[in-house]
Amino acid sequence: MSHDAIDAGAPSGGAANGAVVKRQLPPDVAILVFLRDRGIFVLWVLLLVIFAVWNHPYFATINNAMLIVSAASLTAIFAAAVATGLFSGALDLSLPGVAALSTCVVGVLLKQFGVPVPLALIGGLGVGFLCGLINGYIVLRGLNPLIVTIGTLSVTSGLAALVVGGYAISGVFELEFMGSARYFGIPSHAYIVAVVYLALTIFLTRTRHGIRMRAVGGNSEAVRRAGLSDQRYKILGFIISAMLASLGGIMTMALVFEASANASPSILFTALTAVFLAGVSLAGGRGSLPRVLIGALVLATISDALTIAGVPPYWATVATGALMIGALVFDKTMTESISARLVKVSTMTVHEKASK
Amino acid sequence: MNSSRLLSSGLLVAAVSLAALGTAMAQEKTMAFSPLSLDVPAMQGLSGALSHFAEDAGIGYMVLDPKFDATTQAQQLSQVIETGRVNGAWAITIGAPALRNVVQRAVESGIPMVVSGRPADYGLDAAQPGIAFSDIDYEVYGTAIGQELGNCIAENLDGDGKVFFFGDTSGTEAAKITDDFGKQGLATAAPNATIVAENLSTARLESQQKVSQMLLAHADANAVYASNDENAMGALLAFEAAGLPTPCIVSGGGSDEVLGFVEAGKIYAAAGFDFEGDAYQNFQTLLAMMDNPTELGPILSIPIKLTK
Amino acid sequence: MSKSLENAALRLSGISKHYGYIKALDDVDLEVHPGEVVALLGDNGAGKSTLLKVMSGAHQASSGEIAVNGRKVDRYDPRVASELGVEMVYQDLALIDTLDISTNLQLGKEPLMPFPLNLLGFVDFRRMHEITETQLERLGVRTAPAERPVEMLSGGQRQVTAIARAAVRLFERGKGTILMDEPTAALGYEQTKMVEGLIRRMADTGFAIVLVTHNLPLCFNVSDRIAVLNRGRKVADVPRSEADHSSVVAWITGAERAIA
Repeated sequence: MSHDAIDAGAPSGGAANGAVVKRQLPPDVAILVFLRDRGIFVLWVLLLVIFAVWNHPYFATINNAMLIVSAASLTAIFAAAVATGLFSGALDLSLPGVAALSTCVVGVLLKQFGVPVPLALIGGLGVGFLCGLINGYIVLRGLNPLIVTIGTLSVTSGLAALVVGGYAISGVFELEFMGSARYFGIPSHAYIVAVVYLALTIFLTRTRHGIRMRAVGGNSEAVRRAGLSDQRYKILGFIISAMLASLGGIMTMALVFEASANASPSILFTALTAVFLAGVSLAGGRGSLPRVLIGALVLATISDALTIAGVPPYWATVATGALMIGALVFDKTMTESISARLVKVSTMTVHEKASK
Repeated sequence: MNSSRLLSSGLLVAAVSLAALGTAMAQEKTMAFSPLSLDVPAMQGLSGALSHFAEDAGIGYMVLDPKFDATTQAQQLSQVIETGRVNGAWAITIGAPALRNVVQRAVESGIPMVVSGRPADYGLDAAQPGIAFSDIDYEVYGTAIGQELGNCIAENLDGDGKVFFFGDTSGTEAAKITDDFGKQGLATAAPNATIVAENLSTARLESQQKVSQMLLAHADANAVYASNDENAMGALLAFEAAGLPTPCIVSGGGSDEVLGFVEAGKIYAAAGFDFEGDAYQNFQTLLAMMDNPTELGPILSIPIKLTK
Repeated sequence: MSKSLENAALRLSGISKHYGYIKALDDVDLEVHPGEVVALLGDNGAGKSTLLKVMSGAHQASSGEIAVNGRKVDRYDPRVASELGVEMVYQDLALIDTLDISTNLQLGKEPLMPFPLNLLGFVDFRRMHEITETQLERLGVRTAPAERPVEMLSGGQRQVTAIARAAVRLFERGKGTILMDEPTAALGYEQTKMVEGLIRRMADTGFAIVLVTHNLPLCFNVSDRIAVLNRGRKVADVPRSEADHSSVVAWITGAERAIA
């Protein structure tokens, strides 16, 4: 959140902040900051234009737009899960396992116990809450989050298989309202993504606990020295992250009508790609959620366009990887040249105070 | 600044060259093929065969790669069908329920499809106009593997089989059906055979290690139910390494390598879906429906190819 | 400057610290008064950092007494130190690079929006920036705008921000002690001048300051008193006016002693 001052200013009442920053930054730096922080928006628009021309007349249609939105939704939810973890300073690899376990629990609750839908959903999200709590608690014992969450990935996917007895539970049609259903022509998933991203963005940029959670990811020592419990916020990060993974798992099930114990790591990698495309740092604390959403949309757009064009599927894989590396290089170049320029024009003055 | 200009101009160049490619590929009619995953060599071979069929028939061909993900398969098929990009599609279905909406929209928009399974899998009562069902019968498939293993046990081991059972690893409902009918088939053909241990594995080395470990607990094992070729090869290697006689092995699949061992008498039999043999039939069906999308689609069945 | 024992902001007496057989600190006395800058000098391994950590509560002394504002403290740790108004500016600064200056300064006591938004923990950024600007104004510091992320600051601005953060925590009580570890390490000439100016003005506002440094010019420019450690013992403690470059070097190398 280098972009904090700039991005955080955007959602509400930020006109004043934005104005102050922009007035005080030299114009060339302001342009660089804009490119770095909004570059992915520019890229997306560029891609949309290129693809619309290339895939005319198939691409630029309302229907295809909805297909892209729908395809981006699941990636977006898992990307939000990954990003939240990174904001608070931890990469949680157990997310696919947590998603599978929640899915299987909801499936069993619905099909074998006949639990009403709302209760089953609460049960599924509750599983995510518990997984996050346990992950967080173990990591706070001083263990490396990567290793711990690889362990819990194994545990959760094993438990998922045990819950459903080894085979997928099929015919879970109860959740169609949050699966392929459309409302006013817009896929149900899009509504869920909108609510999740809006709420989470406000939480992370406008509220005390959200800001502190990001602060922990940025520098937990600083948070400790401010007399706050960094541990509480780390656990909070794990919990939000795991609950989003649960939601993503349940949304997947709503789409395929099947509760499968297969913890597919591919969704994690797609989510990671979206997250890094959006400039979220693996080191923690840095990144903006709205850009993660655009990251997910960029991936879905590329995949959609290449699919429609009938380009051999391997190219989609190559393009995604190349784009991600390009984004990293771009972000680094921008950040470095911004820093270089700012130091050069450093405007700090220590003005003398009249001595009493 | 420089790098951003570079980036955008690079993108532009890429787009223009791809656009040229795209125009060259645009034809009057196009079909899409969505296999389980292009990572599977058999699916790649199938795709290659289809592209030749399409070329001969003078229609465009595109292949999608859902990578074993039901959601992705549905998304990709929607993207080519709902945008009107293709005039017909064949999907080897990963998860039938996930394709319900795709099939429904295809019917509505008059774009014919060949999909795996039966109408009921897609929430339909009966055959549909423009939709052909290519039924993958996992019951027959599982039964074939189990029965052949039972036959081997009856012929070579006087019916006294101690079986290592490597189940289907996909964790889907189809896996459950295959496994259940595999066990039934075994019980029918060799009533006295017992399954002494069960396991799951997708890779050869892993299968070999698991069989070696299972042999520690069950040194008298003499038969292996292998849901895939890698299980069969791994088991063969493990029995050889332990200095034990070649067991009864039946493999679900039938790669060239496994068929070689069947020929050499090391593996008793291999049973697999004959996708390639079935491809031409499905392609012709799709082609016919593309000409006449309002006619009811047939319900086809993929034969099982058994090699002993 | 008056030096009655009663009004010492921080007083250490007879502090020793052992690590096994090694004596890192041996019977050290040191005090700092409101409005005073004490420079703590010494060669590498002389015990300066250990002494600073004892003062901040990060390390416990093996023996000796610590008194804050004339009151003896029994259990002394970082939390107690902070409560009593002793703040440390660490060499690593411990700033959150990705957040802006004012969030860094106000973390833990962010002002909230009016009812009902405060119930959800909504932060009033406008007020937070105002508070920060006011506090920086009081310190006589004009750095970058309060909304600028710390990672977009120069080294000097970061240092100023870290010092200001320690200072603003003491604002509410109006006085206190600030401990600094090499505040000008890795800074250029002009930036060092800025930090020197800030240190001097904070002392003039009434803060007591202890400065650990290798930098002799800094020491002579801002300190009121110079204390030198050598192998864990205090070998000099004199007003700046009574020290010159060569005498300080002699104390640091252990060639001479001068306890005022």
